[in-house]
Amino acid sequence: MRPDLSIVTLTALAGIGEGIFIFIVAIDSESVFTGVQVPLPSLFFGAFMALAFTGLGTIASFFHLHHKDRGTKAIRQWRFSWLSREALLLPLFMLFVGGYMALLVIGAPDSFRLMAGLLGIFFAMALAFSSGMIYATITFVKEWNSAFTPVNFFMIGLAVGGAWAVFVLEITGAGNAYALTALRFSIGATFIAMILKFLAYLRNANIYSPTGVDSAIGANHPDVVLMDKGACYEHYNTKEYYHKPFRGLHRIVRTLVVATLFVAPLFLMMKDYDSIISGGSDTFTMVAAVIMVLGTFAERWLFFAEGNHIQNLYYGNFINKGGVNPILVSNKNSAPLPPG
Amino acid sequence: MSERQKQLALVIDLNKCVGCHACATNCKSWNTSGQFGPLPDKAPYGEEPDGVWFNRVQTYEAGTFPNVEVVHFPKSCLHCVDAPCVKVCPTGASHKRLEDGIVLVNYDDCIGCKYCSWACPYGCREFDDIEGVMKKCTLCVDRIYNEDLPIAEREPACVLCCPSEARVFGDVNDPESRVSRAIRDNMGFKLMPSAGTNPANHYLPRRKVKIEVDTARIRVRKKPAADTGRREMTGDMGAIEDFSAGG
Repeated sequence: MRPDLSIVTLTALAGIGEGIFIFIVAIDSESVFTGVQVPLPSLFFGAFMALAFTGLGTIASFFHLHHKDRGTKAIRQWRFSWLSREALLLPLFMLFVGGYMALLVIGAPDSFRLMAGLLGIFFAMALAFSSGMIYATITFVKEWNSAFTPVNFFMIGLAVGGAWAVFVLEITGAGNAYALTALRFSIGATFIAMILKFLAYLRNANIYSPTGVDSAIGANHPDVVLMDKGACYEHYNTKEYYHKPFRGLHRIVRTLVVATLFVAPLFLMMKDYDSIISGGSDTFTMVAAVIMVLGTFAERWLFFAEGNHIQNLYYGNFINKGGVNPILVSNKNSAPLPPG
Repeated sequence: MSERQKQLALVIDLNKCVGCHACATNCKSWNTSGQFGPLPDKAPYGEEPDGVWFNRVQTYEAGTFPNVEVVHFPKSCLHCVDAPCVKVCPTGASHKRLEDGIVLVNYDDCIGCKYCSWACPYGCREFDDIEGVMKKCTLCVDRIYNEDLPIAEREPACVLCCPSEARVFGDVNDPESRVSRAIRDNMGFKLMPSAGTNPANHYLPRRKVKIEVDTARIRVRKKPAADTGRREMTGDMGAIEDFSAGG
């Protein structure tokens, strides 16, 4: 599929916003229960960053819509369409983040603020799930049609959001204790996100497609090849569903994703952890947070670019990854061939 | 949707289609000038012509040389019974009509998010980036119910123009309709049945056709002389008379 910059930006930035808010409210909850209050400006600035990321993502999403004037109609089919649910949950999440910030400013009781924060977390998780399900439910793009899609959307948002939460706590001087707690969970989230993304890449590299051109056009022949696309030039069906990279581009971007989203940030955050433990202070996590945003964009771009829509069969653009037929594998395992 | 409800659809005979693109060009002509038009047509005589077409014809080669045959494959919206494009539309602009099963897009509600086209396994929707809405085959809904047209012309433009009569239009849920008989008698099939979309449009497969010829009725007529361009030198008036008499 052709990666659309507006959708890449929306899913990347909204995910980061959700992650920051989850971390900030979690830190706030911990501080309330332990009785050692984290400075309110730190919480406010953290929630503001969550709102800023999500807001930028929302602005980017409008560039994808060709009729922005009808944007409010997008929530009509919330009972059926995941896209409609996302359109409904995005402003709801931002509303609760705004509410949480307002309660911080007016100095409302902790219970009110935490209630708004926890509802915000609920909407953040629902929003991440909806964003993922938009793509996971498209059964005709096998790379997307997997439980990994919503899980990866959420975990990557959480990992990058965690790094940004540590960034915010460090620059607002919230104290090393809270920065350490956030850092510990941020490292954990990044590690889990990395494992899940590796598994998703492994799955996508070995996809078996049972549908070929012969079954797409119903021709009962083993060898069917396209002779004429029926158009003088490229058109919507050959441009929207197909992204032709130069040789090796996807591999380069995948390496960039692994380096900037997982390996380098994990290294930097662990260095920072060591520094804080030994009483010092470093800017490693801040650097990690910034490069993780770049990694998130690269990861999301690759997610769309690697989507291989089944309608490409009609135009000779379908990329057969040559995975193994799982039925043949299971037959082979259950009934081994006799020797000789 | 109940099986007994009306479901208008096309049946396309791959055995008859000669790949002339008349269906595609007539579809474009009617739909760019009909009640749903116009359709984008960028640089039609330039080096990079681009535009929205509801119907496109691809050509495939089946088999390996020398045992090959050419398959011309026209494809437009299949008006699926379980249309995936309808289910994903966030605004409800994409809808399936209860009265005749036609899948349509309400251009006034479409926000141009393209999600419906991603959900279609057949690539039958095309985006109009001038109007900013998704477009697709309407099964010529502005023709088939148009009382200003003679009854014989109340059919989709692609069906009316097909020179080999490869396209038939009708209600696939009526077992006695022409389309149902064509499907029944010729092993009509649906595209990608595993996709679970249950398309209403059917295709008739490539098949060996045996033509029964009554040799007793074969008449051999004397052929006119070939036009050599030197008629004044041949003077073969008899042949010309034969030609005139034979009509």
